Amino acid sequence: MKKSVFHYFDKWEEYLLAIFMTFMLITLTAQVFCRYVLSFSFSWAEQASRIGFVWLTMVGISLAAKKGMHLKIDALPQFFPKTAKYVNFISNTITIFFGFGMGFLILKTVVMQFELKQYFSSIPWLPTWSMYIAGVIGLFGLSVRTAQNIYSSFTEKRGHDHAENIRNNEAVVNEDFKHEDKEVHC
Amino acid sequence: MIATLLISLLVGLALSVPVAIAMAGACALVFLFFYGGGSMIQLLAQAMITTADSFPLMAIPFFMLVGTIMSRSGLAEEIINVGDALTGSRPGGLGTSTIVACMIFAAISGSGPAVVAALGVILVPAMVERGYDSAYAGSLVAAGATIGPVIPPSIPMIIFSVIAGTSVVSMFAAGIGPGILMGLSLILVNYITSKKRGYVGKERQGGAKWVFARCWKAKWALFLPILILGGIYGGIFTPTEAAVVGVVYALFTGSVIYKQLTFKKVYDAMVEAGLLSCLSMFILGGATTFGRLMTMERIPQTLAAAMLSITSSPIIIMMLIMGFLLITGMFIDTTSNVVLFTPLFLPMVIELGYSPVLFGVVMTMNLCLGMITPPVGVNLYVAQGICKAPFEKMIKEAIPLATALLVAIILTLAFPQIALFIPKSLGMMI
Repeated sequence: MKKSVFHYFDKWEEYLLAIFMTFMLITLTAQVFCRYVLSFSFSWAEQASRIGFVWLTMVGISLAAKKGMHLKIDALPQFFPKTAKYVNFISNTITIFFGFGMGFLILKTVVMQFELKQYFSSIPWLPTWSMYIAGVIGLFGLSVRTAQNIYSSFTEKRGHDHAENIRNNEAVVNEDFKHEDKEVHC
Repeated sequence: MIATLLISLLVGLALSVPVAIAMAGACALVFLFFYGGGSMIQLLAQAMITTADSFPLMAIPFFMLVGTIMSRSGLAEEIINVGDALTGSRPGGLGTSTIVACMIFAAISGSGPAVVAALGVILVPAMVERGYDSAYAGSLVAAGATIGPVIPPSIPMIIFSVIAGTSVVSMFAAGIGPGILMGLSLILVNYITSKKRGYVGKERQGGAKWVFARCWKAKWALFLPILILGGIYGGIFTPTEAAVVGVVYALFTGSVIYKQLTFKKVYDAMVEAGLLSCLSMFILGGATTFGRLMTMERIPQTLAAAMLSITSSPIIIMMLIMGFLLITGMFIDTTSNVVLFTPLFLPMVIELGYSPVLFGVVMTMNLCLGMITPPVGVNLYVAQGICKAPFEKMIKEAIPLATALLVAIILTLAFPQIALFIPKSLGMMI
């Protein structure tokens, strides 16, 4: 079956994670190599990789929301399964408000830096808002992905599975990746 | 104000709001009601970004990546063979090899559940084949993997160092002794259990030469910890650079020597490592402001005064803190625990005359124990997915193993030299 364009678009976080990870890896490898082998180093490598790390973290926040993996204490829904539906709804609603609120505040910072024309000291041509805008994307992504999960829990009735998934988050990563491997082989 | 902060945090956590959001949200409420909102909340939002703008913390995704690449390059088997060659012929030999393999893998990967997944899929079926009870086999791997974050490299220790302002390098050095102690105590329990139940070892296939050949075959895997730790302690790399070098080495061995890595596998490893590291980083982003607010309100000092008014014995207070962390470790994951309680307890611990490095190590050990205790024992869940035994039975099998780990923690507290000997002899600050 041919996958729609939307399928690939839906994986934007994963692509960006891999891209930023590769970027950080190459920058720092080059930095270490140049320093020890060629005895010279560039001033921008550390700052550049740190910007990559901020982007990695922020994009990951959105992806973790999509997979329902953010670390939380779910003793209440676990011990009283009847409350699970309501607790998850409240927790998701708070998450959505938080994401939009914080994302909006960071957007204000971005606008301010844009107007003040601030640049990184070690990379003089790169404006500082290029780092902060990752927060806007990541936190808005957090809200949108959480809203998507609420929506799909109503339409597909997978709410329960989802709560199960959240319980052993790190196991889920491995499982998830196994599933994806299978998809590729099919 | 303190009440607003703590109550809103607790309500948030109880309603299973993500830990990061519960912490940042509690701060936002306090800023809104007591500081007139505005600029303080703006700073809270910015702190979520600036926390990740840190070079030492960048070691986290790279150490994660070393682990996720290594577990995909067919190298777990080599490490298990080394363990088997060294100890396989004793009573309970395969169980002992499991612990040895966990300790070697711990020196490569910084997180616990990853070790369970990588080693469990091979070791659990092998143990069951040699007559081990499947629940016991699963629990043993789960317990062995708790050593992962204690033996360096260690993600919780990096996070602790950044919060507490200790050196990552000394923390790593201080983790070696207690990690080995944990391994030895698990081996002892396994030996006793195996003798009682008659789990026998397998006849060794050769002499010392054969053992050496087995180790030599795994040389590429065994060299990685030497490269990472040797580079750090030789003063050649910072921990972050060592992690980067480790990733390059893992990519090289995985693709050129073992020929197991494909583009798809590397991509998956990168996404998984990025995702796992961001879970910790998001919590840290929320915790930075929370920690500052606690300091501004002098909450740690208030707590210290309250504790000291009950008793002035350092040992009793330390035991109380450790008991508290043991309970929270049962419910809350390691990262959240470290970021929540390090700023709270550290000032008190220092006042009592304990070294912050020792506290960090014992705290990590304590929280790792929480990985195999119900109800939120992550390692047990992962192991159960492999051994398919009933969960209650696994818990029963895990009790003696957890007790052994608890004894290791108490021993480290009673004899701090276990942890501090290596960093001291290397001339590090402790």
